[in-house]
Amino acid sequence: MGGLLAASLLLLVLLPVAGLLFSSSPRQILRGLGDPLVWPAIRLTVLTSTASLLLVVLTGTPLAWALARRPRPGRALRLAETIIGLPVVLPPAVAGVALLLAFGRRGLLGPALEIAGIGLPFTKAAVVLAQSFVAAPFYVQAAVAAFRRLDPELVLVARALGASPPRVFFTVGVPLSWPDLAGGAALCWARALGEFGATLMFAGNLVGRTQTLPLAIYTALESDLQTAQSLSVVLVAVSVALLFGLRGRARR
Amino acid sequence: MNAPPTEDPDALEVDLRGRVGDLAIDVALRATADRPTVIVGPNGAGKTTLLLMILGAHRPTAGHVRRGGESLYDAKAGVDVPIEHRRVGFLPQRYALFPHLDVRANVAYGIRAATRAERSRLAEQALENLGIAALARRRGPDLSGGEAQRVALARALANQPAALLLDEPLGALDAAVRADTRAFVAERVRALGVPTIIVTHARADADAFGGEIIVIEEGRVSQRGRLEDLTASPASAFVRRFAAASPD
Repeated sequence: MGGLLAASLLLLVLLPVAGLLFSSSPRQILRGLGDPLVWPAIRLTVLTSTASLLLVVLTGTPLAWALARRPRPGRALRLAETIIGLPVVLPPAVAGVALLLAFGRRGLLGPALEIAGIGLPFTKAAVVLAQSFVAAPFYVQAAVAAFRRLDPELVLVARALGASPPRVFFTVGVPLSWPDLAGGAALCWARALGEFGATLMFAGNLVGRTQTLPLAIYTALESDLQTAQSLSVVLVAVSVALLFGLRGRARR
Repeated sequence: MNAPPTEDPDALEVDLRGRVGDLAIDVALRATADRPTVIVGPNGAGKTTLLLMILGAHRPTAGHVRRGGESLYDAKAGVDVPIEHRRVGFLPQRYALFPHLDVRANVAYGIRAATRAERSRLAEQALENLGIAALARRRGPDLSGGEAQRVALARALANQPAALLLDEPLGALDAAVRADTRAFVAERVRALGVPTIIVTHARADADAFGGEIIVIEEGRVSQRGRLEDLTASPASAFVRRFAAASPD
């Protein structure tokens, strides 16, 4: 009985993936990739998701270090930790509305951005912001956990040997947490690759400008199922590669 | 009961009050370069906490730390020199060798030199001076306790500290290697010639290193003096047990 229940859940996950991969021949899938939607979407997705990953790693690593290194974090840091986890539980559509209400023309920062001559919505920058917003917690939380596992005596000894806090961060903190940081970065990247809802609402669905792979799949679905399938196969291939990369890392 | 004040311009002068958790610390001591100052006391008495306050890792609430007349911490004057500028070496109980670096890179970590090559050269020299050059390419996890302790000491010495704090330097070692390592540490500390504070629970360490013995109980000094003073007139049950313990 239990085995049957477990098997049905496995099937629920496996069958759609199988449908994606095997309902068309490889030739048909390749032909689907000839659609003019495909390459702009792939290029844009690689560009924006990589930019999002860089943005999150560059800002999230020092944040995670600050969050993890305090033995008794103050109220502000605890609040920061809660805030950074928020996007995980926020529906992407809500994230899209929230981003518009912050950075949109009539949003909180709208007037200030307009004076500065910056229009964010419906640009590549908006895509990156939406992806970073949604994907950041996956990296930051992994990094905080990694830094918390670091032996505080190593940090103390490094400083007693004359190392400044930034040097301790780069020569002790990052190298010893490297595998976990890379795992968090892979998760973050996977989440940014697949971002749909927030991007659609905040950045729109403009071919070559804001139409990432998930949005292109959505658009293709209305006219040509074959192209939607081909694009999906591309995304699945990348996601599976990331998943196996993570697994391999976890085993080591 | 105070030891006679020694003329030593480089002495480490400590007078600290502070609180960590439930434990209130209130200790004054003066460590000179001629002989290590040995701190003993029951578990949880605040010995390690005191070392961390001197090091700058815990912030006291009042008092001062001076090294060679230079103020490292002074609550009244608002001085609190960051750990990395105090030039106070620290050997934690479990050595804390950097596990991602080999022995030579561990020792090179604290060496101030212009180039990486120069640092490596000085590190190898430091290892040679301590007779452990053969360990240079090994990593922390592959070392025995006695080897790790020697490397940790080499690393601290190569940094040329102006004072040295050792927390239970022999506490994690088997009895078989303890005597050997004890002699090694005592000799190196003497050769370094800077004010040194050694926390220990073993009478044999106090014998080998001391110097003045300072007994800390519940965050305060309960007795200070030479081992024979402590033996002759123990001020507490702990001191009586400590003084009566077998030499090792």
